[in-house]
Amino acid sequence: MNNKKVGLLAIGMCLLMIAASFSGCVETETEIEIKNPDTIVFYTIGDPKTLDPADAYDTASGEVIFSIYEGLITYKGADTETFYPSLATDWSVSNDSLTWTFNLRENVKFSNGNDFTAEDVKYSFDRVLIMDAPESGVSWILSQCMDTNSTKIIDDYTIEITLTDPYGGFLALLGYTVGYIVDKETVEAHGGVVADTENEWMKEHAVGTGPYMLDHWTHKTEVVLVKNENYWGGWDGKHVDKVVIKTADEPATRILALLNGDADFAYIPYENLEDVEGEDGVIVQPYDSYDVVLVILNTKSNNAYLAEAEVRQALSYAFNYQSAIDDAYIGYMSRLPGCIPVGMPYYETQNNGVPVYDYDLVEAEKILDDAGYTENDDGYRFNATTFRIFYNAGNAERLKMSLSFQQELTELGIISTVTTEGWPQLLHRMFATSDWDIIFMGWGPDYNDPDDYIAPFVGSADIGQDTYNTGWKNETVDEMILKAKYTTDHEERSDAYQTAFDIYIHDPPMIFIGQRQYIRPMRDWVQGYSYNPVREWYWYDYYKE
Amino acid sequence: MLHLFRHSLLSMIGLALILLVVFIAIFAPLLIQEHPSYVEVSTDQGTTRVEERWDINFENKLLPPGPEHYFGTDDFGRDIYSMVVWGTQISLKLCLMVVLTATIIGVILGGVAGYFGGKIDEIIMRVTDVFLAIPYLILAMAVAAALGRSIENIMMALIVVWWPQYARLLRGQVLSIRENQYVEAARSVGASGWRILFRHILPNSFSPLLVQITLDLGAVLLVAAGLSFIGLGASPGTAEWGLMISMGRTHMFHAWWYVTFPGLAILITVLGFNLLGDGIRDITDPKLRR
Amino acid sequence: MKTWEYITRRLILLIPVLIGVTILTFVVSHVIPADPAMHFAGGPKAQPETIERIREELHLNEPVLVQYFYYLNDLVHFDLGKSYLESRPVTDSLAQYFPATLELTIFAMLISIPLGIVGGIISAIRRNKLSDHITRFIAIVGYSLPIFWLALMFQYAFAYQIPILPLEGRLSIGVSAPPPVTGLFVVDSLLAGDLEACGSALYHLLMPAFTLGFATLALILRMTRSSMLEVMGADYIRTARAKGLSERTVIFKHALRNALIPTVTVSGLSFGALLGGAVLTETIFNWPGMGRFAASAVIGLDFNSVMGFTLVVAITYVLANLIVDLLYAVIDPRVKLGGV
Repeated sequence: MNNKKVGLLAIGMCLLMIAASFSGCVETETEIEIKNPDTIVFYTIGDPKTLDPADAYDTASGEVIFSIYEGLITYKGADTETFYPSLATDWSVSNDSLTWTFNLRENVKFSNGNDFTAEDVKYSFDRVLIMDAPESGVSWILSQCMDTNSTKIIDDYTIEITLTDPYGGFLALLGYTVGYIVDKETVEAHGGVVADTENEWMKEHAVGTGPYMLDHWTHKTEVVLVKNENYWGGWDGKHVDKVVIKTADEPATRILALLNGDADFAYIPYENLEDVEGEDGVIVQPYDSYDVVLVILNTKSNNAYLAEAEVRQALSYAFNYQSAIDDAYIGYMSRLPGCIPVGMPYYETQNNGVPVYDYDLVEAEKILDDAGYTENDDGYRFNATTFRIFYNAGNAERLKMSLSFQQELTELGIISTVTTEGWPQLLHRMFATSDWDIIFMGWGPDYNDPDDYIAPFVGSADIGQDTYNTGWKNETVDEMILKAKYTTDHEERSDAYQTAFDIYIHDPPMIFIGQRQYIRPMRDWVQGYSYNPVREWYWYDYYKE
Repeated sequence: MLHLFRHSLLSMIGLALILLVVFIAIFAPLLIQEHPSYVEVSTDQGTTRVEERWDINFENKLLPPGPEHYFGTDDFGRDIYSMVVWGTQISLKLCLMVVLTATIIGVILGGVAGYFGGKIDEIIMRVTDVFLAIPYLILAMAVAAALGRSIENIMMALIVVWWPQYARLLRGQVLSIRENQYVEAARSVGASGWRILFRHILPNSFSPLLVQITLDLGAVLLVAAGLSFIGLGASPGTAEWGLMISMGRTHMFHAWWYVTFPGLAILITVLGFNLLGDGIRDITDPKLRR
Repeated sequence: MKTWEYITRRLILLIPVLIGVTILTFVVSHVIPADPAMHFAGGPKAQPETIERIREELHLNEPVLVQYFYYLNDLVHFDLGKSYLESRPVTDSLAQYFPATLELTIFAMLISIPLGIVGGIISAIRRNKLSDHITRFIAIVGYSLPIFWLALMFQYAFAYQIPILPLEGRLSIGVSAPPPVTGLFVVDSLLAGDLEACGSALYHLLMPAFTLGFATLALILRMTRSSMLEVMGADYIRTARAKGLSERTVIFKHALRNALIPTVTVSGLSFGALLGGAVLTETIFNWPGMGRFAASAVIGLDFNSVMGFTLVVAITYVLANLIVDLLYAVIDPRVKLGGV
C-alpha cells in the first residue's frame, strides 16, 4: 500500500525533473530598463595575455590597451583608411620617404599626472626594439623599418624618425598597440628596460594618456576600466564612466547575460545567434572581416597521393561550399576565390572574384578517374588509403565542416578520419610530422595588404614562407610574390598577382572556402558603436541611452 | 536472493531500469530508425579500426520530436533517438570495461598488498596514495589529453583513475579476513598464499566488492560524460551520450531535446546502477537487516 | 603516540606522495607529442625566435628526465615556474584561483553536510516509511545526475526563467572585491566591514555551491542513514532504550555520536572529489577558480600550471585526510592515533 504511493511519488519526481528541463520552450517577455547606465559591460571569451603595449599581440589585450594608451596617430569611427592626429598634431615626410617629422601635442598628461613629452616617444619605441617582445615577437612590426637610432628628439614637442627602409605602411604601424606610448618615468620606476626580457610590472599595470585607466584586472574574470580625469580629449559629450570586460567561457552564460541585460555587448558563436536574434532589445549586426577560412592540404604527407595536383583539384570540387556557408557559418560567410579576401586591393586579380571551384562531385570523380585513381571492388579509391582530417578542439564551425566533408569524401570513394586535437598537439603534428593530410584553418590579417595573405599561403619555404607547412612550392609563384612586394607600380603588382593566381589555383595547396563576417550582438541602448577592424572596441565613443 | 529484493521497492526499480537498459543495448539494431554505417580506417600506428558513421543531412537539422524522429534531430540532421539507443551499447561497454579492468587490477594489487604485507604492501599502497591524491577528473583529463580523443582512450584514462580505490578496498577486506579462524585453519594445513587468497579471502570479499562495482558502473558513466563535456571525450561523430550533451548544450535554448534525451539516458542508467547497488548493499549487509 | 608526533609523522609521509604526484603528472603531461612552445608563441604565425626562446626557458630541447630534474630543482626553491597561457608565475595564478575554489568548496560542504546528516537521521528514524523513501530517492537521483547538466538546468531556471539568482561570477557588477587577506570574498569583506560585498559574495555562492554539493549531500545522507541504522541496532542503544531514556536522548546523545564517524570519513574524502568536481561547476558558473584554470592548462599543455595545480590539490587533499583522522579521535575517544 505504502510502497505503491512511494512508487507514484518517485515517478512524479522523475516527471518534475523532466519538466524542469523542458521549461526551455516557455518564452518570457519582459521589458528591461537600462542596467548600469554609466557602465559598458562586455561579455567575451579569452583573457588578455598582457597589458604591456610592447608585448601585446592578441585581440583581448588590444581591447584594453587601445583605451588606456595612445599612439601618435589614431583612427576614427569605422574609417580604416585615414590617419587622424592623436598624440601627434601633425607630421611631414621627406622626399625619399625615409624621414618623418612629428609635432607632438602639448599639455597632455599621463593618468598619474606626469607630462607627456618627446622623451616618452623615443623611450617607447626604443623600448619595443630593445625588449624585443619576448612573449609574442610582436616587435617585428617596428623592427622591419626602425632601429634604436631611428628616433631623434628635436625638442620637447618635436620628434624625427628616420626609417631604415622606406615603408609605405609606416603610419599604420604607429596606430597599432606596439607603437603606443608609455610613461618613461613609470617604466623606469618599475624595472626599466631589459633586453629580451619581459617587464612583469607592465604586464599587470598600465599608465597611459588614453581616456580610461586600469581599475583592476582579475585574470580569467574581468578587466575594469575607469575614466581618466586627466584625459586631454576631455569628458564633454556622452561617455561612460566605467568599462567592464568579463571573461566567460561558457556560451550559455554570455547568451543569458545579453538577454537579461547584464551585458551590453556579448561574444556569441554563430550557432547561437538564433538565441539572441530578434529578441527584444538585442541587435545582431554582421560586419565584414578579413578573416578567411581554409582547408590546408599537405603535399608532403606520407600519404603520397596528395602530392598530385589532380587529387587536390578533386578535393576542391568535393567540398560543399554552400553548406559550409549556410550550415556552419549560418550564412555569415562569403566565398573566397583565392588567397586575397574581398575588400583588399588586387582581389579582382583572382578570376575577377569568381571562384574556380564549385561543389561538383561528378567533376571530382571525373578528375580522379582520368588520373587513374579509380574505385576498387569495395568502392574505395587510392587502395583504401585513409585521408586524415584534423581541426582544433572546440571549434564548432570546423567540426561541422569536417564531418560534412568526410561524408562527401565517402561519397567519392575516399576513406577519411576526422580527429580533433588541442593546439599544442595539432601544431606538433603540422610542423614536425608528415602524419596529416587535411587541416581546417583560419587566418586573420596583421596589416591591410594582400601580401599578408598570398605570401604565407602559397609562398614556399625558400622565400621564408609556407606558413602552414604544406610543402607546396612553385618558383614562378615565389618570384611573383617577391616582385609584387617590392614594387609600388599598381599595374606591375596586379600582373604579378594574376600570374601567381593562375598557377596556384590549378595546383591548389589549400581549399579556399570563404571569408567570414564578425557578428557583434549588443543591446539596443548602446549608442556610438562602430566597427573598425584595425582598432576595435574604442570605449570612449560608446554610451547608453 | 531475488526474494530479498522484494522488500526494497527502490532496488526493484533499479533492477528494472538496468534490465531495460540492457534490453535496449542488446536489441538496439532492431529498435532504431536510422542505422550507422561502418568504415575501416587505418591509424597513425599503422593498425586499422572500424569507425561508425551517422548520415549527415543539414536539411533535417534540429527538428523537434515527432513521429518521424521520436527525440528530434541534432544540428547535423541526425536522429537523436537512434543515436541515444545506439549509445546504450557504447555506454554499457565503456563502464563495464572500465570497472571490470579496474577491479581486476585493484583486486590483484590490493590482495597482494593486504595478504603479503611488508615491503610490497608499503610500495603498492604508496603508489595508490599518489593516484588518489590527484582529483580523478583532473587525472583522467590529463591522461585523456595525452592519449587523444576516442572511446578507447577514455576507457584507458578511466581505468588509470579507477583501480586505486579497488586496491584500497580489497586490501582493507583482506586485512580483516586474514585473521579469521578459517584462514588460519587453511594456513595450518599448508595451503599456499595464493590459494588462500583466491579460495578463501576473495570469495569473502565478494559482497562489498559487488556493491562498489555496481555503484561505480554509474559513476564511471558520469565521469566519462564529464570528460566529453570538457572536450576530452569521444571522437566527433560518435553516438556517445556525454559527447551528445556537450554538443547539444550550445543548442539548449532553441533545441531543448538535443541535451535532454542523452541526459535522461545517462540519468536512467546511472540511477539504475545506484538503486541496484544500494539494494545489494542493504541485502548483503547483515548488520542492516533487522 | 602523542598528537603532535603523529601529525609530524604524517606530514613527513606526505613528501614521498608529493614526489610521486610530480612524477605521475610530469610523465602524463610530457609523453604527448606536442609543441606547446609554438602554441604559447602564437601558433603558425609565431616568430621562430620567440618559439626557440620559450623552448629554452622550458628546457624542451632536453631529454624528459633532465627536464624533470630542472623542475624539481625549481620546486625545492619554491619556484613553480611560469604559466605560459596566463603569462605570469604559476604561484600568482594559484594565489588567485585557489581561494576562489576553496570558498566554493567550503560552502558546498557547509550546505551539503548538515542537510545530509539531518536527512540521513530522518531517513533512519523513519525507516521504510514514506519520508525515508522520498529522501533516499532524491539522494540517489542527486548522485546519478551529470553535475554539468544539473548546473545548466539550475542556471536556466533560476537565472533566466525565474531570475532570482545571479547568473555567474563571484560578485555583482559594480561591487568591488574586498582587499585581499584570505582570498575568500566572504571572509575578506567581513574583515573590511563591507557588508554589501559580503552579501553579494554569499548571493553569488548560493547556486554554484548547492550544485557542487548536491552529490555530496546525497552521499552523506546515505552514509548517515546506514550507520545510524547500524548503531541503533547495537546493544548499548537497546540498553539505553531499556533504561527508559526518551527516544530523543537515545538518538542524539548516544546513537548520533557513533554514527557520525563514517560520515566524517566520507566528508573528508568528498572534499577531494569536490575539488575535482569543481572543474565542471566552475566552467558553467564562470567561477574563477582552479578547476577552470586546470582544465585550460591540461588542454593547452601548460605543463607548469598543471603541475602546480596537482601539487596544491594533492597537498590539500592529504591534509584534509589528516584532519579527518584527527577528528576521529575527537569524536570517538576509543580511536588511537597511530598505525598509518
